Amino acid sequence: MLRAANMVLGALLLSSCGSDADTARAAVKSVSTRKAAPDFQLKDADGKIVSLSDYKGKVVLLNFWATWCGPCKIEIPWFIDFEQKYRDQGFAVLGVSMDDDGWDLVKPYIDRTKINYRVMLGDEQTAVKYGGVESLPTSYIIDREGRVAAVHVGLVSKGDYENDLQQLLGKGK
Amino acid sequence: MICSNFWAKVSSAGLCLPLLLSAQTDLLKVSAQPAVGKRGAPFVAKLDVQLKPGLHVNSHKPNDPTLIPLRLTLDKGGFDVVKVDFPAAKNEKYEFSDEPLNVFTGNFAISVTLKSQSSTSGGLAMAGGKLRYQACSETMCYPPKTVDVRIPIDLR
Repeated sequence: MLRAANMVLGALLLSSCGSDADTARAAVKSVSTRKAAPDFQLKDADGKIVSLSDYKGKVVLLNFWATWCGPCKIEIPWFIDFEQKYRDQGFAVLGVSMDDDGWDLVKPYIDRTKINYRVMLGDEQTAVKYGGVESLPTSYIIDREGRVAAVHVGLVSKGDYENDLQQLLGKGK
Repeated sequence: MICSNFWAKVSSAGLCLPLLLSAQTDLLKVSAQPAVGKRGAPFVAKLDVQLKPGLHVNSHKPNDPTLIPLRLTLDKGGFDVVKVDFPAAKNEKYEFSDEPLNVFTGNFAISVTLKSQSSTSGGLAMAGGKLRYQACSETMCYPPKTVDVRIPIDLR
Protein backbone atom coordinates (compact mmCIF):
# COMPACT_ATOMS: atom_id res chain seq x y z
CA MET A 1 0.00 0.00 0.00
CA LEU A 2 2.75 2.42 1.04
CA ARG A 3 4.78 1.45 -1.98
CA ALA A 4 1.82 2.09 -4.26
CA ALA A 5 1.29 5.48 -2.66
CA ASN A 6 4.96 6.33 -3.04
CA MET A 7 4.86 5.31 -6.67
CA VAL A 8 1.89 7.58 -7.28
CA LEU A 9 3.72 10.40 -5.54
CA GLY A 10 6.83 9.74 -7.59
CA ALA A 11 4.83 9.63 -10.76
CA LEU A 12 3.09 12.89 -9.86
CA LEU A 13 6.40 14.51 -9.00
CA LEU A 14 7.70 13.64 -12.41
CA SER A 15 4.36 13.93 -14.16
CA SER A 16 5.50 16.50 -16.59
CA CYS A 17 8.05 13.97 -17.79
CA GLY A 18 5.56 11.16 -18.02
CA SER A 19 3.81 12.24 -21.16
CA ASP A 20 7.10 12.70 -22.92
CA ALA A 21 8.21 9.30 -21.75
CA ASP A 22 5.40 7.75 -23.73
CA THR A 23 6.83 9.08 -26.93
CA ALA A 24 10.26 7.76 -27.61
CA ARG A 25 11.64 10.99 -29.01
CA ALA A 26 11.00 13.36 -26.16
CA ALA A 27 12.47 16.78 -26.72
CA VAL A 28 14.18 18.83 -24.07
CA LYS A 29 11.54 20.58 -22.00
CA SER A 30 11.34 24.31 -21.65
CA VAL A 31 12.98 25.53 -18.43
CA SER A 32 9.68 26.63 -16.90
CA THR A 33 8.20 23.12 -17.09
CA ARG A 34 11.15 21.26 -15.60
CA LYS A 35 10.80 19.64 -12.17
CA ALA A 36 13.58 19.00 -9.68
CA ALA A 37 15.17 15.57 -10.09
CA PRO A 38 14.80 13.62 -6.82
CA ASP A 39 18.06 13.29 -4.94
CA PHE A 40 19.34 9.85 -3.96
CA GLN A 41 22.26 8.23 -2.19
CA LEU A 42 23.51 4.98 -3.70
CA LYS A 43 26.76 3.05 -3.46
CA ASP A 44 29.04 2.71 -6.45
CA ALA A 45 31.24 -0.29 -7.27
CA ASP A 46 33.92 0.96 -4.85
CA GLY A 47 31.43 1.28 -2.00
CA LYS A 48 31.43 5.08 -2.17
CA ILE A 49 28.16 6.94 -1.69
CA VAL A 50 26.99 8.81 -4.76
CA SER A 51 24.39 11.55 -4.43
CA LEU A 52 22.76 13.25 -7.36
CA SER A 53 23.17 16.55 -5.52
CA ASP A 54 26.95 16.12 -5.81
CA TYR A 55 26.53 16.75 -9.52
CA LYS A 56 24.72 20.07 -9.35
CA GLY A 57 26.23 22.36 -11.95
CA LYS A 58 26.67 19.48 -14.37
CA VAL A 59 24.41 18.01 -17.00
CA VAL A 60 23.70 14.44 -15.90
CA LEU A 61 22.46 11.48 -17.89
CA LEU A 62 20.92 9.20 -15.26
CA ASN A 63 20.41 5.77 -16.78
CA PHE A 64 18.47 2.94 -15.12
CA TRP A 65 19.55 -0.37 -16.65
CA ALA A 66 20.19 -4.05 -15.92
CA THR A 67 22.50 -6.76 -17.23
CA TRP A 68 19.46 -8.81 -18.34
CA CYS A 69 18.12 -5.93 -20.45
CA GLY A 70 19.08 -6.25 -24.11
CA PRO A 71 18.08 -2.74 -25.19
CA CYS A 72 20.10 -1.30 -22.30
CA LYS A 73 23.23 -2.96 -23.66
CA ILE A 74 22.83 -1.12 -26.97
CA GLU A 75 22.87 2.23 -25.20
CA ILE A 76 25.83 1.64 -22.89
CA PRO A 77 28.53 2.09 -25.58
CA TRP A 78 26.85 5.39 -26.51
CA PHE A 79 27.03 6.54 -22.92
CA ILE A 80 30.70 5.56 -22.74
CA ASP A 81 31.23 7.72 -25.80
CA PHE A 82 29.25 10.65 -24.32
CA GLU A 83 31.21 10.46 -21.06
CA GLN A 84 34.45 10.63 -22.98
CA LYS A 85 33.30 13.34 -25.35
CA TYR A 86 31.47 15.73 -23.01
CA ARG A 87 33.12 15.16 -19.63
CA ASP A 88 35.15 18.35 -19.94
CA GLN A 89 32.04 20.39 -20.67
CA GLY A 90 30.48 19.64 -17.31
CA PHE A 91 28.72 16.41 -18.11
CA ALA A 92 28.47 13.06 -16.34
CA VAL A 93 26.72 9.78 -16.91
CA LEU A 94 25.41 7.97 -13.83
CA GLY A 95 24.31 4.37 -14.31
CA VAL A 96 21.88 2.77 -11.86
CA SER A 97 21.79 -0.99 -12.18
CA MET A 98 18.50 -2.61 -11.21
CA ASP A 99 19.97 -6.13 -11.06
CA ASP A 100 18.61 -8.06 -8.09
CA ASP A 101 21.77 -10.15 -7.90
CA GLY A 102 23.97 -7.16 -7.17
CA TRP A 103 27.64 -6.58 -7.79
CA ASP A 104 28.45 -10.25 -8.49
CA LEU A 105 26.80 -9.74 -11.85
CA VAL A 106 27.27 -6.05 -12.37
CA LYS A 107 30.99 -5.65 -11.61
CA PRO A 108 32.11 -8.20 -14.23
CA TYR A 109 29.83 -6.52 -16.75
CA ILE A 110 31.34 -3.10 -15.98
CA ASP A 111 34.82 -4.54 -16.48
CA ARG A 112 33.91 -6.43 -19.64
CA THR A 113 32.29 -3.45 -21.34
CA LYS A 114 34.87 -0.97 -20.00
CA ILE A 115 32.26 1.40 -18.60
CA ASN A 116 34.01 4.71 -17.89
CA TYR A 117 31.28 6.33 -15.78
CA ARG A 118 30.01 5.71 -12.27
CA VAL A 119 27.59 2.86 -11.80
CA MET A 120 25.57 2.35 -8.65
CA LEU A 121 23.25 -0.41 -7.51
CA GLY A 122 19.69 0.78 -7.49
CA ASP A 123 17.13 0.14 -4.79
CA GLU A 124 13.38 0.30 -4.53
CA GLN A 125 13.45 3.62 -2.71
CA THR A 126 15.29 5.31 -5.55
CA ALA A 127 13.11 3.65 -8.19
CA VAL A 128 9.97 4.89 -6.41
CA LYS A 129 11.36 8.43 -6.39
CA TYR A 130 11.65 8.16 -10.14
CA GLY A 131 8.11 6.97 -10.73
CA GLY A 132 8.71 3.27 -10.19
CA VAL A 133 11.03 2.61 -13.17
CA GLU A 134 8.66 -0.02 -14.51
CA SER A 135 10.70 -0.73 -17.62
CA LEU A 136 14.31 -0.50 -18.75
CA PRO A 137 16.16 1.33 -20.10
CA THR A 138 14.82 4.50 -18.55
CA SER A 139 17.01 7.58 -18.70
CA TYR A 140 16.63 11.02 -17.20
CA ILE A 141 18.59 13.92 -18.58
CA ILE A 142 19.12 16.43 -15.82
CA ASP A 143 20.15 20.03 -16.37
CA ARG A 144 22.83 21.96 -14.51
CA GLU A 145 20.29 23.18 -11.96
CA GLY A 146 19.28 19.62 -11.07
CA ARG A 147 15.99 19.64 -13.00
CA VAL A 148 14.68 16.91 -15.28
CA ALA A 149 15.01 18.23 -18.81
CA ALA A 150 14.12 15.05 -20.73
CA VAL A 151 13.13 11.45 -20.16
CA HIS A 152 13.63 8.50 -22.45
CA VAL A 153 11.81 5.25 -21.72
CA GLY A 154 12.94 2.37 -23.88
CA LEU A 155 15.57 2.32 -26.57
CA VAL A 156 15.87 5.53 -28.55
CA SER A 157 18.57 6.57 -30.99
CA LYS A 158 21.99 7.82 -30.05
CA GLY A 159 21.15 10.96 -32.03
CA ASP A 160 18.16 11.69 -29.80
CA TYR A 161 20.38 11.62 -26.73
CA GLU A 162 23.07 13.64 -28.39
CA ASN A 163 20.61 16.35 -29.46
CA ASP A 164 19.37 16.67 -25.88
CA LEU A 165 22.88 16.81 -24.46
CA GLN A 166 24.17 19.35 -26.92
CA GLN A 167 21.20 21.57 -26.25
CA LEU A 168 21.75 21.44 -22.50
CA LEU A 169 25.52 21.68 -22.59
CA GLY A 170 25.43 24.61 -24.99
CA LYS A 171 23.06 26.61 -22.80
CA GLY A 172 24.99 25.91 -19.64
CA LYS A 173 28.39 27.18 -20.70
CA MET B 1 -18.69 -19.34 -10.70
CA ILE B 2 -19.10 -21.87 -13.46
CA CYS B 3 -20.11 -25.28 -12.15
CA SER B 4 -19.24 -28.29 -14.26
CA ASN B 5 -20.66 -31.77 -14.14
CA PHE B 6 -17.09 -32.98 -13.91
CA TRP B 7 -16.49 -31.27 -10.60
CA ALA B 8 -19.97 -32.05 -9.32
CA LYS B 9 -19.20 -35.72 -9.85
CA VAL B 10 -15.82 -35.72 -8.25
CA SER B 11 -16.77 -33.74 -5.23
CA SER B 12 -18.69 -35.74 -2.69
CA ALA B 13 -19.76 -32.47 -1.07
CA GLY B 14 -21.14 -31.24 -4.38
CA LEU B 15 -18.59 -28.41 -4.30
CA CYS B 16 -18.06 -26.69 -7.62
CA LEU B 17 -14.71 -25.36 -8.77
CA PRO B 18 -14.03 -23.02 -11.64
CA LEU B 19 -13.44 -24.70 -14.99
CA LEU B 20 -10.21 -22.81 -15.36
CA LEU B 21 -7.98 -21.23 -12.76
CA SER B 22 -5.99 -18.29 -13.95
CA ALA B 23 -3.74 -15.58 -12.63
CA GLN B 24 -2.14 -12.71 -14.40
CA THR B 25 0.14 -9.75 -14.25
CA ASP B 26 -0.16 -6.82 -16.61
CA LEU B 27 2.13 -8.62 -19.06
CA LEU B 28 1.17 -12.28 -18.88
CA LYS B 29 -1.75 -14.54 -17.96
CA VAL B 30 -1.44 -18.17 -16.96
CA SER B 31 -4.41 -20.55 -16.81
CA ALA B 32 -4.62 -24.14 -15.63
CA GLN B 33 -7.24 -26.62 -16.73
CA PRO B 34 -8.42 -29.15 -14.15
CA ALA B 35 -6.29 -32.29 -14.23
CA VAL B 36 -7.09 -35.85 -13.25
CA GLY B 37 -4.48 -38.04 -11.60
CA LYS B 38 -4.10 -41.32 -9.85
CA ARG B 39 -2.45 -41.35 -6.42
CA GLY B 40 1.21 -42.26 -6.62
CA ALA B 41 1.27 -42.32 -10.42
CA PRO B 42 2.59 -39.60 -12.74
CA PHE B 43 0.00 -37.55 -14.58
CA VAL B 44 0.13 -34.52 -16.82
CA ALA B 45 -1.33 -31.08 -16.18
CA LYS B 46 -1.38 -28.31 -18.73
CA LEU B 47 -0.79 -24.60 -18.27
CA ASP B 48 -1.83 -22.11 -20.92
CA VAL B 49 0.23 -18.96 -21.03
CA GLN B 50 -0.90 -15.82 -22.83
CA LEU B 51 1.67 -13.12 -23.31
CA LYS B 52 0.70 -9.57 -24.15
CA PRO B 53 1.10 -8.88 -27.89
CA GLY B 54 4.43 -7.40 -28.87
CA LEU B 55 6.29 -8.98 -25.97
CA HIS B 56 8.55 -11.98 -25.68
CA VAL B 57 9.81 -13.87 -22.65
CA ASN B 58 13.11 -15.68 -22.49
CA SER B 59 12.71 -19.41 -22.88
CA HIS B 60 13.66 -21.85 -20.14
CA LYS B 61 17.05 -22.14 -21.85
CA PRO B 62 18.03 -18.69 -23.16
CA ASN B 63 21.02 -18.52 -25.49
CA ASP B 64 22.60 -15.76 -23.46
CA PRO B 65 23.58 -16.69 -19.88
CA THR B 66 22.91 -13.14 -18.65
CA LEU B 67 19.23 -13.48 -19.51
CA ILE B 68 16.67 -14.65 -16.99
CA PRO B 69 15.01 -17.95 -17.95
CA LEU B 70 11.35 -18.89 -17.73
CA ARG B 71 11.01 -21.01 -14.59
CA LEU B 72 8.09 -22.97 -13.20
CA THR B 73 8.08 -24.10 -9.59
CA LEU B 74 5.22 -26.09 -8.05
CA ASP B 75 5.87 -26.63 -4.37
CA LYS B 76 2.46 -26.44 -2.74
CA GLY B 77 -0.40 -28.92 -2.43
CA GLY B 78 1.46 -32.19 -1.90
CA PHE B 79 2.77 -32.95 -5.38
CA ASP B 80 6.25 -33.59 -6.75
CA VAL B 81 7.21 -32.29 -10.17
CA VAL B 82 8.39 -35.23 -12.30
CA LYS B 83 9.20 -33.07 -15.32
CA VAL B 84 8.29 -29.84 -17.03
CA ASP B 85 7.90 -29.83 -20.81
CA PHE B 86 8.14 -26.43 -22.38
CA PRO B 87 7.16 -26.07 -26.03
CA ALA B 88 9.83 -25.54 -28.67
CA ALA B 89 11.07 -21.99 -28.30
CA LYS B 90 11.76 -19.72 -31.25
CA ASN B 91 15.09 -18.17 -32.12
CA GLU B 92 14.15 -14.58 -32.83
CA LYS B 93 16.42 -11.76 -33.91
CA TYR B 94 15.81 -8.41 -32.28
CA GLU B 95 17.29 -5.05 -33.11
CA PHE B 96 18.94 -4.84 -29.72
CA SER B 97 20.75 -8.16 -29.94
CA ASP B 98 23.54 -9.30 -32.23
CA GLU B 99 22.49 -12.93 -31.89
CA PRO B 100 18.99 -14.44 -32.06
CA LEU B 101 17.36 -14.92 -28.69
CA ASN B 102 15.56 -18.10 -27.64
CA VAL B 103 12.10 -16.88 -26.69
CA PHE B 104 8.40 -17.56 -26.36
CA THR B 105 5.83 -15.19 -27.81
CA GLY B 106 2.05 -15.06 -27.98
CA ASN B 107 0.17 -18.02 -26.51
CA PHE B 108 1.94 -21.20 -25.53
CA ALA B 109 1.36 -24.22 -23.32
CA ILE B 110 3.53 -25.81 -20.65
CA SER B 111 2.97 -29.44 -19.71
CA VAL B 112 3.96 -30.47 -16.24
CA THR B 113 4.08 -34.06 -15.06
CA LEU B 114 3.14 -34.36 -11.41
CA LYS B 115 3.04 -37.17 -8.91
CA SER B 116 1.24 -37.03 -5.59
CA GLN B 117 3.33 -37.33 -2.45
CA SER B 118 2.59 -40.32 -0.25
CA SER B 119 0.98 -38.08 2.36
CA THR B 120 -1.45 -36.51 -0.12
CA SER B 121 -4.93 -37.89 0.20
CA GLY B 122 -7.29 -38.43 -2.70
CA GLY B 123 -10.11 -36.14 -3.72
CA LEU B 124 -9.94 -32.55 -4.81
CA ALA B 125 -6.51 -31.06 -4.54
CA MET B 126 -4.68 -28.00 -5.68
CA ALA B 127 -1.07 -27.88 -6.80
CA GLY B 128 0.36 -24.43 -6.38
CA GLY B 129 3.50 -22.55 -7.27
CA LYS B 130 4.92 -19.78 -9.37
CA LEU B 131 5.93 -19.00 -12.92
CA ARG B 132 8.87 -16.61 -13.07
CA TYR B 133 9.44 -14.75 -16.30
CA GLN B 134 11.23 -11.77 -17.73
CA ALA B 135 9.61 -10.02 -20.66
CA CYS B 136 10.84 -7.53 -23.22
CA SER B 137 9.53 -5.76 -26.28
CA GLU B 138 11.66 -4.61 -29.22
CA THR B 139 12.71 -1.53 -27.29
CA MET B 140 12.39 -2.17 -23.57
CA CYS B 141 12.50 -4.83 -20.89
CA TYR B 142 10.43 -5.35 -17.78
CA PRO B 143 11.89 -6.51 -14.48
CA PRO B 144 11.51 -10.21 -13.71
CA LYS B 145 8.08 -11.04 -12.33
CA THR B 146 6.33 -14.03 -10.87
CA VAL B 147 2.73 -15.04 -11.33
CA ASP B 148 0.92 -17.51 -9.09
CA VAL B 149 0.04 -20.85 -10.63
CA ARG B 150 -2.75 -23.07 -9.28
CA ILE B 151 -3.73 -26.37 -10.84
CA PRO B 152 -6.99 -27.99 -9.68
CA ILE B 153 -6.57 -31.76 -9.51
CA ASP B 154 -9.01 -34.61 -9.09
CA LEU B 155 -6.77 -37.14 -7.37
CA ARG B 156 -8.23 -40.62 -7.46
